[in-house]
Amino acid sequence: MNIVIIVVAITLAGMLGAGLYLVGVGGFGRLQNLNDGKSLIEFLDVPAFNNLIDPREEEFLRENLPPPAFRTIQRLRLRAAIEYVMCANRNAAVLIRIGRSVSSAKNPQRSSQAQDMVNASVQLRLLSFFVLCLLWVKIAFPGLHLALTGVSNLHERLVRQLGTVTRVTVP
Amino acid sequence: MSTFAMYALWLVLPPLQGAIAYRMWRRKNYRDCPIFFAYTIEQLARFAILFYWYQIHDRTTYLHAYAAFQAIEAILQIGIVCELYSDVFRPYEGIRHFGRSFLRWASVFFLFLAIVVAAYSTGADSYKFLGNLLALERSLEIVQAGLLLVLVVASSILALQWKPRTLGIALGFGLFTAVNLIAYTVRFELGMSTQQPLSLVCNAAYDCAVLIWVRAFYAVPKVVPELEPRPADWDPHSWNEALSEYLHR
Repeated sequence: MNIVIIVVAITLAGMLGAGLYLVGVGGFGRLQNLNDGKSLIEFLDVPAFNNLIDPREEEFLRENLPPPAFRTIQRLRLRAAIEYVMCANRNAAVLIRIGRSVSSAKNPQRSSQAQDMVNASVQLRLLSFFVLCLLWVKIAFPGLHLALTGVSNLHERLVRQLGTVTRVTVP
Repeated sequence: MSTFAMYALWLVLPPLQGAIAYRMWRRKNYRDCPIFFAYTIEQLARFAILFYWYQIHDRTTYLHAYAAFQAIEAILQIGIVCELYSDVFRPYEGIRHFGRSFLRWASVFFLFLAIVVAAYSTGADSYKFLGNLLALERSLEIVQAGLLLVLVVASSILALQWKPRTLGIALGFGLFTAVNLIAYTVRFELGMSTQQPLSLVCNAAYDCAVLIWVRAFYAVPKVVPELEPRPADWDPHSWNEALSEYLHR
């Protein structure tokens, strides 16, 4: 038992050290140049993403393909969906940075809009994280039925959040 | 040599922590981080009392005073972790409640882990009081390290930005928590023979942590040039238009 305790303690300490080091040097979600916006915000094809995790599409494929082919295709679709979610995730991180930078502005209206954008972006990051977890579970078990509604509902909320983020315009 | 090093590492603390307390008092930082301020004051009092008992060679009184201060310190350190959570999540209104939930559930999990670790530990110390004290300290370090780790992971998942001072406090705190966790574990397993070198390592780590805190409170804040938003460049409108178009289909 003692060796387990030693391993737990050293692992915990090591992970904490590494995590804090990365936070300290800005390793998590480090962005290059905020003003170079074009290179930071990636285009997100929302209809294509929605199509990839549409339960009806999935049901259609399930009914019309043999199970092994369905599993293979479903995994490929889910991997593509993960790319989309990660893209939204990265965009949200950029928007948080931009919003936080604008929040310090002296103009209260602009600051308030930026704060709204930051809040929505952080929520989008959180939702993306849950959606990613669900998508990874789906990849492991592509035949699972139960996760469909969960992903779909979360996706709906995610799109709504994305809408909120993009509706908030920076003057 | 090791006695000299130990005294040097010990004696350097009061001026540094005094400087932190002075700075916090002058700038009224105690309003933002009251528990960290209380902790700094407690450390100064702790030094004065423990140093006195150490010098008059009253080992039993020293040990009991040390245990009492460890108990107070443990409460304050957990309080500082809560303060860090609050500081990191405060600017993000939409997920503030997640910060509290993370803290609550992580506390329950790591407290459970600490209890399991303490229950299954069989230390190498023949002096039972010291053995129990070390087991307790290690459990506390596990809770603190775990809570800090959850904060770091959560903030990286959510891309939250840390204020420089909060980051400084967390870095210092994380440094000595990680070193103490390893040191207490090794000390608990190997017994008294490792006491001297590990004590030096822990003291050195704590001194480094205090130096990080001094820097956090005395560093001149960087003036971040305000970002001039260039909608034409990163163009959120095109996102909006694409989404509206899709929704109206």
